[in-house]
Amino acid sequence: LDPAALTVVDARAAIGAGSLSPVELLDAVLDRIRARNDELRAYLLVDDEGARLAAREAEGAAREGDRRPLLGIPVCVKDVIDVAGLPTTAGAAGWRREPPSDATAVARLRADGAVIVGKGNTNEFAYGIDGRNPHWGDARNPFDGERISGGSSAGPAVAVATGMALAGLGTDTTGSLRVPAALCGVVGLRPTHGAVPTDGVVPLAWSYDVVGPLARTVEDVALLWAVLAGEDAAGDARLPRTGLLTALAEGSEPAVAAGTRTFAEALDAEPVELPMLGHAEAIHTTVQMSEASAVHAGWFAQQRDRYSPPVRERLELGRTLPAIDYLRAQQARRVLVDEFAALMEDEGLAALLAPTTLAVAPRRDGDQAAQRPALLHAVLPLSQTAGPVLAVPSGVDDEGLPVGVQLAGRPGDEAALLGLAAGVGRSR
Amino acid sequence: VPEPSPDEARALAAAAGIPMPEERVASFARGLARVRGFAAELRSLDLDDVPPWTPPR
Repeated sequence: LDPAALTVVDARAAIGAGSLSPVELLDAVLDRIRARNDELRAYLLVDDEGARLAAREAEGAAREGDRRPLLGIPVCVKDVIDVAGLPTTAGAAGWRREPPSDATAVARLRADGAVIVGKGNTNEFAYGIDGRNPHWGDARNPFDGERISGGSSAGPAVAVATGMALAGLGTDTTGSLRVPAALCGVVGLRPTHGAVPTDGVVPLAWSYDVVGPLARTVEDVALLWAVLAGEDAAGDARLPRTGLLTALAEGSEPAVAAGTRTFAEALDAEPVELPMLGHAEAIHTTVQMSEASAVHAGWFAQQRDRYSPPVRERLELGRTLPAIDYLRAQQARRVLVDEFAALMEDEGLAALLAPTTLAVAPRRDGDQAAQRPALLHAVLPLSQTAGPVLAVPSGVDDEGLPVGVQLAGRPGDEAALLGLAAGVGRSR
Repeated sequence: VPEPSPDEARALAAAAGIPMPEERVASFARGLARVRGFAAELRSLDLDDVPPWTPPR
């Protein structure tokens, strides 16, 4: 078996048993990168030298019985997250920094033995949902290169799906871990807001930005989550009650609807309503545009002509929003968060179920604006709760293109979501 | 919410310190109508005495 095809759990077990060396694993991953990265544009930068050094160190540590959970595991880091010694470009045309130290999330992965392979492709400044990048080349869908990968954590998702890494680290503001996870057939976790420090991460909108993991299986994501959060993510074995957010499933393509139905049946989910979700787009767009414009104020003054037209226009519109509109949006978000907490409490729910995207990966040559609603419809509302949202594959359509579902939980309930998804996986 | 006129869109852009070449005015005006629509939607909610959401510490 090609080591690049192993899950994190299996690769770590093989390293521990002495049947796989971290150098051999990295070589297999680098072979995949050489074979496919020019076509798929998963990586903006591959750090051969640094990764080989880390893999050799991991090999020595493994021989001495090192038990760290990610020892020798190759990871792709989205290029809005600092890795010491490598430039952070945010996928932008005219912006770059040379970080002297790792972002905390990267430092935690490295401290537990991970091998950082390189910097993954992203929508410019993570301000997009499709994985398109007009400056450095679009990330492409591993199942059909004429389709988008989803974004903005596009590179890590494509890398994980194709064995160009065993795990990925990305960010999610509106749906940027979950959408590429769904379209590339991998698992992504949007953690509780604030659970993983965002220092060393290029911000987009502080009220929504989170850092989280991508991998091929729920068990792998649980392992990564334990490292990132510094907590036990073993999960709860029982299957508590789950609510089905039917409003977020409206308009689903047949394959998406079938995948959602499979999970709803496995979890015995009952339909629930969260009326404030109907205002989620107004809340989110107002807050995100305002905050992104503030984040970019200094850079915008210096390089406004180097932004792509859609990003530039969003930043410009954000500059026109009055403070009172921003505060009203945050007031409305408070109502939504309280409504969510009350629903979970009153109904005794551990999770809410919804599709991730309403459709399979759209074509790259399609109308970008027309494609956005199907990508955003179900992920944007669940970014409002400030709790964790786990995106897992739920099936494929007739052409083999993946679709997925989301499980949203109360703040701090990552382990419960991981346990629920693992339970469904075992029962399928 | 109606789309602002090109003149109004130019004036709003200028007030926000945004140079607005002619070829971008129409798209900017559409964007303004969208964000104004969201603002109107949020104004329709009863939010008296509701504190804004802030990240938990």
